[in-house]
Amino acid sequence: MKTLDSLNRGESAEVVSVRGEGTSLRRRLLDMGITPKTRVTMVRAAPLGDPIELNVRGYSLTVRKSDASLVEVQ
Amino acid sequence: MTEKTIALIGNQNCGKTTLFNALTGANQYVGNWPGVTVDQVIGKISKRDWDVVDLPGLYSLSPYSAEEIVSRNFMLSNDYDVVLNVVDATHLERSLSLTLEILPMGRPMVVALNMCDLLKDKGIEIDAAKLSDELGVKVVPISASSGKGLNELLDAIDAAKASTKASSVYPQSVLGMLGDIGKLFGNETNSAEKVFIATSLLQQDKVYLEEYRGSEKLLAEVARDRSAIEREFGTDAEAYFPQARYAFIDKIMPAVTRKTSSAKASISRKIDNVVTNKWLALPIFAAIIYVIYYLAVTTVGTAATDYANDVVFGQWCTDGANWLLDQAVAPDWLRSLLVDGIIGGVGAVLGFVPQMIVLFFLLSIVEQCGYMTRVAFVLDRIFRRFGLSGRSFIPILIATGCAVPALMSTKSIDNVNEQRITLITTSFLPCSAKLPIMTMIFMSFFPEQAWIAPAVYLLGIFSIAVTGIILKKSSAFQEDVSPFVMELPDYHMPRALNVFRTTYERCKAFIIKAGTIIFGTVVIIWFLSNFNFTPDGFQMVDVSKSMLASFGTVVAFIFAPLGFGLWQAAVAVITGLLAKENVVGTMAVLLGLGSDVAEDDQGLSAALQGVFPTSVAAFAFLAFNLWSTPCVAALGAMKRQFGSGKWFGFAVSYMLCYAYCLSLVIYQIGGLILGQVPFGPFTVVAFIVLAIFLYLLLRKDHGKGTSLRIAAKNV
Repeated sequence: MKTLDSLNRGESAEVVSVRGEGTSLRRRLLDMGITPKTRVTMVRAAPLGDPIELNVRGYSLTVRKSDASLVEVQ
Repeated sequence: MTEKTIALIGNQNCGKTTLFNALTGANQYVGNWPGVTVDQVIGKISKRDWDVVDLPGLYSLSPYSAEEIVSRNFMLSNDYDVVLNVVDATHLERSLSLTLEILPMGRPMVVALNMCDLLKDKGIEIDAAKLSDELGVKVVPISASSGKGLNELLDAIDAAKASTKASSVYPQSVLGMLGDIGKLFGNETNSAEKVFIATSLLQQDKVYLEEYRGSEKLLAEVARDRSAIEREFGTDAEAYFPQARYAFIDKIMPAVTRKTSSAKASISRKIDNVVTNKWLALPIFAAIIYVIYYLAVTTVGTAATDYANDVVFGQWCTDGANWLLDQAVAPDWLRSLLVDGIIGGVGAVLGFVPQMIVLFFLLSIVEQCGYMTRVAFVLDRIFRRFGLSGRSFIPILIATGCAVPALMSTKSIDNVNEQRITLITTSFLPCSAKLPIMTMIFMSFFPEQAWIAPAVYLLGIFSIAVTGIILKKSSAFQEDVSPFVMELPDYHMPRALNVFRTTYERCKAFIIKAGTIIFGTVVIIWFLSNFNFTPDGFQMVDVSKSMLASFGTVVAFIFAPLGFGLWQAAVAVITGLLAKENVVGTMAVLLGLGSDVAEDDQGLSAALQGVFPTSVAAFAFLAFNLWSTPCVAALGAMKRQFGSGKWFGFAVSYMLCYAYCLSLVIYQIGGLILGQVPFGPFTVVAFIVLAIFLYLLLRKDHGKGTSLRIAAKNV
């Protein structure tokens, strides 16, 4: 399954699930609106390649790549 | 008597502070909420005789940082009458998620739909009446920055009622579970807490699971309901609640909002294309920092600080005090206390205030326009290597002015490990109070050697990096981490009132420090260095025969391996542990030059040559002063941020130990290389210390490390 950190710049995808049950990271991602069926666009990576900026529900969100890999997309 | 207390809550960057300022106007009084924390700011709406409590911004009620816990606890308390939820109209979807979390608590509530003036440019229209129907609470469109809609907002607050629409967010079955769990709590739990804690337990909130560990009946009910949710909705309970909230939002959005025109390409996006550009980001960042420092430290700030030191405190205060003392025919000791002790000591600190004002003013502009979050985004990769976060940069930058407001600003770092490491390393870059010590040592031992100042700053950065790596690898700093998930807010023009208030708050922290702790230490040191027991009784004596000298002589041996075993140096270090501003003054007094000697004075240089036999010893002295614990005021701020005596104790021990080891290595090994110090037993000790440091630095990282690996363990 493809994960959120593997999106290329400008690429969009739909969230399938957020892994990592019981972690505060998962709670945070869900609370910030990364819920299943949400469309997420990868806007850019930081100059050193990490973290990445995403467009979710009309706002800009930054996450580290290792954290984004918890989000399965299609 | 206050009629109503209003809790102001909303996301970060939703314009909450601007609304707070607009509501309270000039009548606001900034005070501390009685009890646990000072993070809530209270203001007064005098028109209505209401209190407003401005809570730290948060995205959801699950706490990720210390700041968010403050807001969550306040929302659960009985200390307010109405919730005023500020919602950013330009980011309605995400903002409503918090609204829906508060809604089921059943408290009287009003939603302020802020930034409505910006909707036009975004090509969006919002039907506030429709939204109001859906939420079951009054929604008032406002613009906090232009003051539109505030009267309507106050009227709505007056008539605020609790929403009855929780049933449109969660189905009856889930609300039933929340009710059943709620019945199992005792009477001391209020109804808002019952709903919230029940929801949290269903979501496996660690804080509450721990709290109710003993209540088997309660936990059994929770476990039953969790599996019921999983069966009914096909997802785990943890994900169910946010999913249900967003599903409700997705359902109402088409009815509530309407696209009027194709949105203009966002200005923020265009700015970000430049300032977070792969090649331009770092140069732009460096240029901005350079300009801030150029203005604060080299030009405007320094001119004002020189004026304050030389004219205000040097002439007016001193001359004025002397004149008054002459008139009153005051005794010598009083003159000595007032002029040498208090004006000399406290004045030296207050002299930094103008520089501080310029620095904090510029930093708050950069912060409030939204650029600082971009800095965190750009630098995160670098800082993470050292166990810090992109957000650590802001405190470290502020600390080059004063560590007290810097330590207070670490609250926004939501990863507790990164916050702890930031707290320990923040004061490693020299603050403005340490500059005179640097100047004193440079002028006396390294004259006209331009490399020395950058070398000290590099050593500061090195200290941060080394400490970060060592601590990151120790298991104590690998608690379950909360992640770096951060919004990049749209850029806005900073509001003058907000900028002034932040500047004022930070300067106030600095001035209070000068007025209390430094005032106190100055008086004590003055007393200890002017009095002692003599054969003729307790009386004023020469400083070399004072109590301070006796004490310094007793402890001086501790510093002998570092190259400065004379009592004067020991005493200067000790006074420096209280406040770094004291070091130069103490040194001057102890060397018999009077406390008002400038740090670049020729006489002081000559006298220092007698205290430090070699330049490497002088540098070791400097190193100990710079990298040991910061002043007492900063320690106080640090203790509050750690919120635990154990962690604070660790931080203090680490810093003292680090500074001692660093100075030892500098003096013994540096001296050996330069041929200034002969080989001896302490050289061996220094090499052992160096080896231990290298081991700690290079050893493998055995910890569970990233949040990802924790996740894998739990799945």
